[in-house]
Amino acid sequence: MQQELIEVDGLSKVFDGRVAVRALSFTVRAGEVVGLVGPNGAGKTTTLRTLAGILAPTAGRVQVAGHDLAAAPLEAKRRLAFVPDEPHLFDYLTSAEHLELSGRLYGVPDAAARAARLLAEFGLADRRDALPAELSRGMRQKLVIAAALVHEPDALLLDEPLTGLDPVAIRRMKETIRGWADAGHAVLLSSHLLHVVEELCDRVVVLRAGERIAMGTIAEIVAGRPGLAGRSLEDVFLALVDDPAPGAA
Amino acid sequence: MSKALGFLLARSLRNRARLTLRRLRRPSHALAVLAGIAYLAVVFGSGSSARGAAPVPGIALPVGALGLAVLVAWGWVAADAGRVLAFSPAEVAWLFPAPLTRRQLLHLKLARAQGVVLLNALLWTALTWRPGLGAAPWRRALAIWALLSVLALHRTAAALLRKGATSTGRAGLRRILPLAGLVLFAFALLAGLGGVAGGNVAAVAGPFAVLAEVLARPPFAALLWPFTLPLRPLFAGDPAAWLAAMGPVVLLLGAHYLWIVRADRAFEEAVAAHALDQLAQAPRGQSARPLPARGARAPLLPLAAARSPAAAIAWRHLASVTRRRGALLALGAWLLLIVAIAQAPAFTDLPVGETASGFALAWLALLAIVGPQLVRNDLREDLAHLSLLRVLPLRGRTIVGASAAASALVLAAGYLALAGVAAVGGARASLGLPALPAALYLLLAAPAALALALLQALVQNGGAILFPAWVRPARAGGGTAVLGTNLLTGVVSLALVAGLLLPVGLGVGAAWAGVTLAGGGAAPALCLAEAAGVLVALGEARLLAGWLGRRFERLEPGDVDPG
Repeated sequence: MQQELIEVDGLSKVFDGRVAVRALSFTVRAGEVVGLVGPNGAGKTTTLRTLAGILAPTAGRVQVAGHDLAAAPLEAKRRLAFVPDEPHLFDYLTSAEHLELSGRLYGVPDAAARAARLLAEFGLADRRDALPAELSRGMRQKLVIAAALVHEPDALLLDEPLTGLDPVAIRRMKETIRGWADAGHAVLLSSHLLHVVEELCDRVVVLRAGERIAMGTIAEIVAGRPGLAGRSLEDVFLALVDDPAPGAA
Repeated sequence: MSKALGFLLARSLRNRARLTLRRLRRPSHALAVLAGIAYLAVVFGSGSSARGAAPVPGIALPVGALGLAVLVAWGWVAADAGRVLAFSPAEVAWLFPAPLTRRQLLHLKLARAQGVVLLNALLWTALTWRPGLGAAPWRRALAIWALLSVLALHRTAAALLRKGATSTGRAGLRRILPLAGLVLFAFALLAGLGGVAGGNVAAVAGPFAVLAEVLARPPFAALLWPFTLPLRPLFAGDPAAWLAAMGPVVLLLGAHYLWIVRADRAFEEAVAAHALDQLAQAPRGQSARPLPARGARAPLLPLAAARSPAAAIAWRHLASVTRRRGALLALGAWLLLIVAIAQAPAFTDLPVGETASGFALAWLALLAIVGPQLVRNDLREDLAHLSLLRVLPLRGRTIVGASAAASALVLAAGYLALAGVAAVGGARASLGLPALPAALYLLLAAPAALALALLQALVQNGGAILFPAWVRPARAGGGTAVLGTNLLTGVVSLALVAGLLLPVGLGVGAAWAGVTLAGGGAAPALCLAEAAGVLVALGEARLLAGWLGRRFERLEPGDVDPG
């Protein structure tokens, strides 16, 4: 049994009386890629931002590599990285400086060497001195993902990581994500690209209106619904989110 | 503050300076910087060479304390707490998930605020420095820095408390209490002013002396005492007095710092939620702009589905104005100020109406000069979204005309409001106009104000279309370059509007002369001259909108933001 690197227990998040996430529980183990899927407004981004420590949960508990995010936030945050859905960068830092900043924030001793390696790995070596205004959307996205890997986090949270990337970069990014998990880290990603989720993820958590309506491998989810046997994740997803009376898995 | 945050601040500052130097190679940017420096040199030069009498501490201190109290109260009652606390989207995305403490984030916020405070301290030292005025320049600079720092820290602390109150449902109470205190204070002050004015107006020299005399009495003296503390070093004549006055200010700074770092837990959540709201609405690749206050109010006019596309564009620009609480509050505050000053007998021995009329005319003239650059609810705030505008199935002249009409309506409303105050106050006589009913003047003023505002708005929009990278539409910013750009744009715009008004003036003159030569009275002459002037102006506006529309159709997103 692999170690559980992300543990979410009864997580709820309420904004001004509106429930964005309700009593959500799931785990992500080392070496595993778990997909967070659901229609718009299902609570995927709120869940990821809460797990990243950007938002405080209204109720529930989050643990990262055994550290409680509320009780020991710094320990927990040192072991995770978050890639948001929009690649927001500092206007006056170069690509290399963004990676160096990331290294300094997480106390990485050989940040400069790692930054150089990651810039080369993500095809940004010739843009190391470029400011964000000189980078395309795809380059900015790659830079944010590279920065997330500088401190080699145990748990990687990715919100729509492939948006804005070209086909070559998508292929490379999928290999990076899979390789990261295979190296013993945990990856939790949200995506609307269901074929990517199907290809990359070991398990999926399906959300609707802030509630978990299904969880497990695609085979496990389909097993509970014989009518969906042999269908793609897209068909399973549509059947689940259209189901008027979902039963939590 | 952590080393990583120090690295972020230092590198950002260095790269920003390098970028600024690189931009200076562009002639347009260099010209703007030169214009800005020239303007500052003129202002500073006149300030430092002035030999006017130094302000008397006995008057300046209580009046300054009152001004400080109003600023502080404004921070509690009306300022946007979210804006004060706002972190940029990049800061939220990079720093909030990082292993940083809340205190480290607060220190980053305070360090960034210090940059603005230092710049302002230098500016105000230069602006207010005169030989023989209170403290020596370096002591004055330190005193101004301390004053501005206390203000900045207080604003942050107030914003934190207000955000905390919002999260605990006590926001209403915490906003109402300072507001109620402010209203009570204002009433007591007006009553005090009335008492002094009713007693012996002639014995006191000028309005500020009257105000200072009232503020020196109880309870105002006690209420304003804390606000005099940060001001006292400014008036300390010798080093010993300055040092003694700085002691309490340093204590104030320390107390505010402790207040902030011990603020409640709502801080992170509040600023993160605010920043996330902002970045959800910000166009990609742009800095997020502050959102209007929660619960955007309905626009003044509903948009009917049957309205024309041009009406829809104008409606959208008008709706954006009605949702800016700060702008509306500021406008209301200025109008109230004019009325309040005019009604306070202690301030003048002129009749109330004449005073109000004079103020209104002065503001009208000022609005006519700077208003077109300030009222920007038109194409200037939309050019950043040029790609979206270009896919609309509309001709360029429709987009340009409707956008300009939106800001022209706002501008014209300002003109009319001030003209109304002036007319009621009896401006006609002081301007030497024919003795006709004030209502007729107001009726005639409406189309004239609209036509003038339309021409002014078209000129401003023309600048944004013809020189998009120069005018930098919808860009927030500051610095000498922006100051110079605004100055040059303002001067050129004024000259262009003056040129456009020449044919209008000829039309007005011809109509007036025609009627009076034919033996008509003043009223028909005025009406016909007005009609002729408005018709000429509208004709020019139509031609201008058509030409600018064609230029707009050739504009490309790369022209607006060359990167």
